[in-house]
Amino acid sequence: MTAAPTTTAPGVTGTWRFPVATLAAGLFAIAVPQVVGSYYVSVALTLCMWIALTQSWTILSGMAGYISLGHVVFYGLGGYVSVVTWQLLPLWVAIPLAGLAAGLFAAIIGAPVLRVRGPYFVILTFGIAELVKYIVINVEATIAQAGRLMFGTPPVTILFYVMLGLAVGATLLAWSVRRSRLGAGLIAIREDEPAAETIGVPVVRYKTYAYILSAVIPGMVGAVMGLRLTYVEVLQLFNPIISFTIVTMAIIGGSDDARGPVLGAGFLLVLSELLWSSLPQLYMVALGTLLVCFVLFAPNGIVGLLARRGGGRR
Amino acid sequence: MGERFLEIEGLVSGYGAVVAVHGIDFVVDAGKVAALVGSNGAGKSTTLRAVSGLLPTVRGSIRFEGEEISKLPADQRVDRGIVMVPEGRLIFSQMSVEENLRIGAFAPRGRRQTAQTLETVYEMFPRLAERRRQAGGTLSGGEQQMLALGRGLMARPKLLLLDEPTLGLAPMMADTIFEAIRSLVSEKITILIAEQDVTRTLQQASVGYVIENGRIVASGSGQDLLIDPSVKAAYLGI
Repeated sequence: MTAAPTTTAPGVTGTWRFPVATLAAGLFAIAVPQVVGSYYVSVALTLCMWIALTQSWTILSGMAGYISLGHVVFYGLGGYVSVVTWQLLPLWVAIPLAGLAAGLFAAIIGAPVLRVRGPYFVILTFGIAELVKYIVINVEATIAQAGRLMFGTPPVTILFYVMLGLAVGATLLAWSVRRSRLGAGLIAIREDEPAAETIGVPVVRYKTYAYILSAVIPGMVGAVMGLRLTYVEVLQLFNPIISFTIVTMAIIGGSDDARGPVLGAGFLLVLSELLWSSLPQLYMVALGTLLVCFVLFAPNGIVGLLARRGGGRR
Repeated sequence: MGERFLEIEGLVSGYGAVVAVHGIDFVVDAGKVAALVGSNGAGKSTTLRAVSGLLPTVRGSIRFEGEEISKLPADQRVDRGIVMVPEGRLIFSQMSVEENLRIGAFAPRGRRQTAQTLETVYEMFPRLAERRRQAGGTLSGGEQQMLALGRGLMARPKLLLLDEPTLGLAPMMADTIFEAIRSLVSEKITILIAEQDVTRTLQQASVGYVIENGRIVASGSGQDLLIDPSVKAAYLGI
């Protein structure tokens, strides 16, 4: 039990429970490679990857309601940075650099892209991801690289630790943005953007901040995943399935609470572990059915279902 | 003459290529009610939106307390005390009444005294206090207008811009809103109001401006405009 700070708004109980639990889970997870075999380390790495990606996505798409269907673009750019700089730059430079590149890209395209709303924004983000993918493919073609062989990449345990840090970082970031003034402004934008503007929310600036914040960690995630590959093709780095999976996890887990992405990522990963190897066709069928059911009956995801059952905290 | 509270000169504004206000001049004095009257599409809303920064000032100047503000973004104008209550109410329908009010104090100038202002708003509109936990979208039209007005007050405005505050309201509700406007003036809040209820608006206004096709065609004290034959003919149907 931690004491609630006196400065919080009334009605917020157990304020610090979530970040403390997140950190505790993160510390606990450090032991994973000592306890389980390398197969499960890579499963844990994948879980951390999805948590980090989905949490980041909720900062823009959950809070401000601008649904991005092209979040893979940041992952892909980050991955490309780490692949290109591999053996030129040390890991601790390359990974932050990848995050910086993704954030910078978001800052540049943010202003024009965030002018459109609703379905247009969804389509635009998807289109941008595809556009960047083909630009990178062409860049690779001009420098005569159809694919890159990666030698001497770090062992999976090291990459797992980095990814664990990113998952914990993304979770804490999403949690703290939600509780901040920025988060309040973003939620006002989601509820009614013109109204948000009249109460003094700097809408353009806040949307851009949210876009940048939602891009940096996916850039670093991509950088780590680029080093997981032994043979890198650009198509893999910018695979739109990654964007779709992020959205699916956010919908199933619930994007209105920092617990949602963790639950959504965990749930989907368990499902795929159970079904993917034995019945891959059934996995896609189950996924589609689940998605439809959640959208129709539980729009706030697993977190929403838990809140309804508990009737208590949101 | 010293500086005026709000001074608009040669204001040109509109939506992109469509110019709706073609160079208008007017002043609003501190602690008074100023009214913009005119038919639909005359440019009243555009003027208010330009003053609040929701629309760009294409040409001309907007001086508030002696300072040029026409290039400031909307959020900085709110922080200087210029608060707009938009037409159509635009409340956050998923949020509770209290959440709506609290987020009204988003600008730094309102945030410091949120709890205190909240009490004042609840005193002014007891109906909102009764429904503080209810979702904004479940309120009646009149209650939503109260909520929009209350949310605007949470930012502690010096100048309140009211765009059609009684549009579509039952007469009783409209009475409540006009009563609220009177009590705001007694608390030294300056009001610039655009209203289709010309008679009642001009009765309360110390100065009125008649807008037609984006230009001011008549001005004077509220009482003078009420007896002006051309205003009578055009807007009062007499």
